[in-house]
Amino acid sequence: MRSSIRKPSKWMWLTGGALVIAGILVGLPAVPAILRERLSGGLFLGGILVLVFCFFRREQYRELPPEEQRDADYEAQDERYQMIRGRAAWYCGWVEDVVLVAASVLWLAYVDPTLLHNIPYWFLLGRRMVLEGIQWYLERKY
Amino acid sequence: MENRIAALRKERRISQAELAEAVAVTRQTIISLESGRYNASLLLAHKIAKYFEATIEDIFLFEEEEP
Repeated sequence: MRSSIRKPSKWMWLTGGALVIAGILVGLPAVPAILRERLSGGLFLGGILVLVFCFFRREQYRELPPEEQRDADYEAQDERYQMIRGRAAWYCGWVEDVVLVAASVLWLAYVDPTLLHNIPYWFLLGRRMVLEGIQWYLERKY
Repeated sequence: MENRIAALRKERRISQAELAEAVAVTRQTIISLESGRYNASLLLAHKIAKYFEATIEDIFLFEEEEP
């Protein structure tokens, strides 16, 4: 099992459906024109895309042999898979930090030399604070 | 950490899929455990030991670190 094809969850189907409904509702004349024009199409199309993705995923899942279907069902609770996801997220966060530091240096050099207007820097700082906050919460919990 | 999962499984003629199902993990996890690429958590080690009706120490061979 390399890249598993998991059956789309009910939550995914509901998200797609909710986006489509939200797109339709936001398109009603009672909604202010600015919201209608900017949100309606995007929400509706986004919902359709999620539903199409769910449909194709479900079909791919149905074509899998029973053993692989079982593996896919167990994957979310599988400790090795969770460990891999955790490590992948950690490495991804590390890459994001490097990209944001490079972006803030470039911003200082080419866009605005003051740190106050440095968007990548504030994003990096905010992201770091969220990370520390979550870590603090988890350390209290465990 | 080495383990005797593959040996015990073969001895009792159990497939990787059967063991995986019994301890609620994927076959890939059993493959990784058997090859020594992944170390089981205490909970999984306990489930595997219970499945084989053995102790954790019988299955997982801990290596003492030298002082």
